[in-house]
Amino acid sequence: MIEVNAALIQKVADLSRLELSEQEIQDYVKSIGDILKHVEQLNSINTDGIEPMNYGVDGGLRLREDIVEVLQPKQDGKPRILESAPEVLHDGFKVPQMIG
Amino acid sequence: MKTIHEIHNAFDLGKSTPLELTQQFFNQIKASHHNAFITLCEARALNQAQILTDDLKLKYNGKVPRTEKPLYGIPLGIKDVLTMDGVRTTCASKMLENYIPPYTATAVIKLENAGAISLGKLNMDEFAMGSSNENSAFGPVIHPTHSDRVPGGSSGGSGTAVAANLCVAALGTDTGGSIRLPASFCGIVGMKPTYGRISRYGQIAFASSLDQIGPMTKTVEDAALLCEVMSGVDDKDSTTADVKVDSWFKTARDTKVENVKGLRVGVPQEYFIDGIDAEVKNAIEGMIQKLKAEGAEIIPVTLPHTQYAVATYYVIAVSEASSNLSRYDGVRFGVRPPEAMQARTLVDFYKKVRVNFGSEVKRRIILGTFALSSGYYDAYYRKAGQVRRLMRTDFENAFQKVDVMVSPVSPSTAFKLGEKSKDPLKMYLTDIFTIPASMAGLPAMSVPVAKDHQGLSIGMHLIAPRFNENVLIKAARIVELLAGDSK
Amino acid sequence: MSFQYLGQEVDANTEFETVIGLEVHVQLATDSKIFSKAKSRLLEGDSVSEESVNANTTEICAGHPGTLPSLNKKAVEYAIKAGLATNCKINLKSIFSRKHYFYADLPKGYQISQFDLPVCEHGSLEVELGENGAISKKIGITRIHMEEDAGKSVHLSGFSLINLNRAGTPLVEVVSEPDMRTPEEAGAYLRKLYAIVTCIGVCDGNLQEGNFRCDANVSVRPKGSTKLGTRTETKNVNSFRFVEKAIEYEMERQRQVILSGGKIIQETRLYDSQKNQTFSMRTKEEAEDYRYFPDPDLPPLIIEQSQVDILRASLPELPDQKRDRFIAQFGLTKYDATMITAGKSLAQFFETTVLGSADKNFSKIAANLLNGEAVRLLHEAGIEINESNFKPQHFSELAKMINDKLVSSTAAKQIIAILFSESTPEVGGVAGIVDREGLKQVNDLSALEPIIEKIILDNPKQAEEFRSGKEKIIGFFVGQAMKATQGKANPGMLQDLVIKKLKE
Repeated sequence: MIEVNAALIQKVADLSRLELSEQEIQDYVKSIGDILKHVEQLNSINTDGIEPMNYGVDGGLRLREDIVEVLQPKQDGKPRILESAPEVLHDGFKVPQMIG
Repeated sequence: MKTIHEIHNAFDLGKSTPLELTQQFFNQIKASHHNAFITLCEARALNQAQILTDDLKLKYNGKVPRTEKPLYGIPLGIKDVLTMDGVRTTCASKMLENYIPPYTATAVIKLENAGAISLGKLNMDEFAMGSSNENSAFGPVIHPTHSDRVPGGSSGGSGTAVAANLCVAALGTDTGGSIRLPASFCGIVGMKPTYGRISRYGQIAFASSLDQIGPMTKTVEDAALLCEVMSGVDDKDSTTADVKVDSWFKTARDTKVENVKGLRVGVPQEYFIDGIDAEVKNAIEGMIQKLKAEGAEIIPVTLPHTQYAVATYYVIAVSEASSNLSRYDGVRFGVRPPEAMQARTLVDFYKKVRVNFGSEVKRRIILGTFALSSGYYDAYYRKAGQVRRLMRTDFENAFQKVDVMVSPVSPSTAFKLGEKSKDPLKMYLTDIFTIPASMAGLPAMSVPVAKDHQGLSIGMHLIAPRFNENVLIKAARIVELLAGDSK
Repeated sequence: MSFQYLGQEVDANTEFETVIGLEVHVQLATDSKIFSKAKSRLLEGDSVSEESVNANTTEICAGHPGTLPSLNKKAVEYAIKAGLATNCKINLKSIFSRKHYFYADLPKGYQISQFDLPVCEHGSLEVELGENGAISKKIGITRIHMEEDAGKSVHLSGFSLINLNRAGTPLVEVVSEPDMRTPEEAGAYLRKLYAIVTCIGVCDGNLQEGNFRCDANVSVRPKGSTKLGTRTETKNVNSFRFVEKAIEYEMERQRQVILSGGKIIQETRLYDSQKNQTFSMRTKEEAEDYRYFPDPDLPPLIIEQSQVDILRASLPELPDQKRDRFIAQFGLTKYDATMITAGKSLAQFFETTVLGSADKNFSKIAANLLNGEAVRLLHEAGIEINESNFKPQHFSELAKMINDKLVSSTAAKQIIAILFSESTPEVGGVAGIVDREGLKQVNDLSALEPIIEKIILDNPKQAEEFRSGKEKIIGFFVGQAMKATQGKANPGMLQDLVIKKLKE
C-alpha cells in the first residue's frame, strides 16, 4: 500500500502545477490517504483478462467530413477568440517569458 | 400553473404570456434568498420573451405551436457548467469568474430552438465536484425549504431553483449523481439519460466518460419532454449515439397506473444495506409494495460489485478531471492574477494562475494526477476501468430478468450545511447508490415519493437499460402517480 | 588511453558505427484541422492576410471549456494512405490518447495523439545509396500515428506571444526503426519518405512552413557491437541537408565524449544551422511524466477492411514504381530517375516535357537539364517547379536544341537562368532567347584555329605533358578555348580540334 506523505503530495502537486499551502498539504495527506485506503479494496477483485471500460459509449468513432467553418471575427476584424484572453498583444496571447 | 403543459394552456387562453411569465420569474428570483443563480441574463431573456409573445399573437394566432416548438415561452434555468455565447459562464469557479464563451452548448441551442427562454446561470459545486453545493466560489446554495440544509450537489442551484419555483425547469449535469441527488433532496424530478443521448458539447467537462446533461423538473412529463428535445446525435460530440429518440413525452402523458401490470421491477439487494436512514428505507419499501399491489412483478436482483462503486468512480472521475482541468492556465481565457505576469518561469506562472481552484478541485486534480502517473497507472486507473467493466456486466446480467430497477437515491435525506464538508470520503459515500448507473452509462431518474418526519423529501431511484429511456419514463410516471400527495 | 563503452575497450583506433532512427512529423493536407472545422491551411483564393495571428483559431483550437474533438475523416484517410504507401499494416482498431504536458502553446494541457495502438505499424521503405543509387537498403518503419500539432510561440524580450493558428493541424508521426547507419542513409530515407507523401497527395511538402519536420535519434557504438548506445534526440530539423549535418556533428561529438572518458546523456538537443552544431536543451531534473491515457472524448477508431482496400486502390503510382518506369520508358539512369521522381511536381513536369517522344537521348538530356541547373535554382529560391516561370515546353524545346547540337550545355545553363528569372513565351521562347543572347552553338570552328594555336604556344609545359601521354590535361585546353568562345562552341567538336592541333 502506498504511503501518502507530504513529499508525495508535493511531488504530485508540482506535476499538476498547483501551489499548496502547508495547511493544504496536511489536509490532503489525510484526506487523500483516506481515499486511497478506501481504493485499496479494489485489489481484492480478480480482474485478470478484463478489458478496461474507458469510454461511456460502445462502438467506434464517428468521423466528420473535411469542411471548413470559421469563428466569425468581431466587427473590427479582430479574431473573436481573443475576446476572452487575459492579455493580448499584436493579436497573440501574451504570457511571461517562457524560457525556463 | 406549474408544468409546461399547464403553462401552454394558459398561453392559449391568453391568461399569461411568455413575457409576463418571464418577468414574474425574475421577480421571484430577485426576492429569493437561496443563492440559486450566479448570473442572470435578464435583457437577453426579456428580449427573447418579447419576441415569443409577439409571435404568439401575430404568427401563431394565439395558439402555442406545441409540435414545432414544444418549449414555447418556457423560462428555464441553466446550470452554470453549460456555455452560452456572450453570457458569463463560471462553472462556480474563481478561475472562470470573468469567462464569456464565444459559443453555446448544443443542448442549450436545442432548447432555445424549441422556444425555451434561458433566465440565467445556476449555482453549482465548482466544476460540478461535490454532493452538497458547498463547493461553489459563489457561496453555497440554500435548500428550498430548510435553510440549514444542503440542496445536494453538484446541481444544487438547479434543484433549489425548480423546487422554489424560480424557473419552470432547469438543466443539471450528472457525473455520479449530480442531478439525481439534488432532485431527491429538493423534492423534484431529476433525470440522467443514457450516456451518449445528449451532446456534451459546451458542457464544461468534469469526467468525460461519465458526464451527462439532464433535466430537473417538477413532473416526469416535463423531464421526458426536455430530454426528448435535447437528445440526438451531434457532430461536435463523438460520444453521442445514433439511437432513435422515442416520443418520451407521449409515453409520460399516456402512462396510467394500470400499465404497471407485468412490469418486472428489480430490487438490488446491495442497495438496502445497513446505514440507510430508516425513514428512507421505509418510504422506498412502501413504494415497492404499492407497485406490487398494482400488479408489478417485484424481483430481487444482485449487483455484486456495488460496494466497490465509490472507489472505482473516484479513481476514474478524478483521473479524467485532472486531465480536463489542465487547460485552466490563464493564457486564453479565465482569471489571471496580476502577480502571474511577474512569474520568472512558466511553471511559476501556472502555479500563480491555478491558485484560483478551490480546495476540493485541487484535491481531485492531485488524486487524479497521481492515479495516471508513471508507475501507478496500472494499479489505479487501469484497475478501476476493469472493475467498471465488471459493474456494467452486473447490470447487464440483472437486466436479463427485470425491466427496471428501483432503490433509494441516497442513504439519507438532505443533510445539514457543514455536516460532511470536513470529511471528503464521507461526502463521497453520499453518492453510493447513484454512482453505479453512471459507471455503466445507464439512464436513471429520481422521483419524489415521500417526506421524512422533518418534511425533507425522499426520492426513489429508478434505473433502466441503456437507451431504454422509454421504460424508465413509464415506470417513473407510475411511481409519480402512486406517490400522489404523499411526496 | 582506452575507455570502457558498451562493455568493450575503446580507444582512438576503434571504428565506430552510428545508429540512427528518425521521427518525422508530416503535416496532412486537409482543409480543416484534425479535431475541429477551423481552417488548417491556406486554400485556393485565400490571401496570406487570412493567416493573420489567431485568425484561424476557434474555441476548439484554443481548448475552451466545454469543447470536444471530432475527428476529420480525410485526416484518417490520409494517415491510412501514408501507411499503405510505406508497406504498413493498417490497424483496424486504433486508440487516441492524451499526452499531458504544460506549455503555453499547448492549449488543453495535453496533446491528442496515439500511444498504445497507432493507426499504422510494421512498414518499410527502400532507399538507394552509393554512386548512381546502385545499392538498395530497406529501412523499417515502426509505426505511423496521428496527432494534433501545437501552436507557435514568438519569444520577445520579457514575454512571449502565442499564435494558435497551427494548433490542431493534423500530423502523422512516422517513426523509423533504428536501421540507418550513416547521415547519407538518413538523408536518403527522408527524401524517399518525402517523395512518397507528396506523391500520394497527403502532404503539401512545404519545408519552410514546417510541413515535414524531423527529429533524429542518434547513438554510436563500436562497429560490430550488437548493443545500443545511449541516444540523443535532435529536434525539429526541417531541411534534409541539415539533418545530415546534424547527424554528422552528433556522431562525431558522441565519439569524442566517449573517447575522452565522458558519458553520453540521454537528452534532447537542438541543431543550429548557422554554427553547424547541436546543443543541449536545458536538461530536465527528471523525466517527463506524460500520463498517457485513452481520450474518453474519442472512442476507438474502427476502420473497415473494405475502406482500406478502396484507399489502396486509389493510390497513384508511387515514386519507386515511377522511377522504374522512367528507367524503362525513357532510358534514364537510376540516379536521374530517382532524382526526378523525388517530388511530385518535378516528375509530372518531366513527363510533360518528354511527352510523346521516343528518343531516349532526348529524354536523358531533358532529365539532366531538370536535375542540374533547374533544380539548383528552384532549391535556392525555395519553390516548387510548378510555382516557377519554368514551363515543360521550354525544356522540351531546349532539350531538342541540345540534341540537335544547336546549343551547348554551357549555353543551356544560361538559358535556364533566363527562363527562371523572366516569363518567357511557351512556344518558341527558347529560340528567342538563343537569338537575343547570341547563344547559338558554333559548329564551324575554323575561326578558332589561330586561338587554339596561341593557347598551345602559351602553355608549352601542358602541351608537353599531353604529348607524353597524360591525356587528362586536354580538359585544360578545352576549357581555355571554350572561354574564348563564351561557351558557344560545340564541346565535342572543340575537343577534337584541340587534340588535332596538339598532335600537329
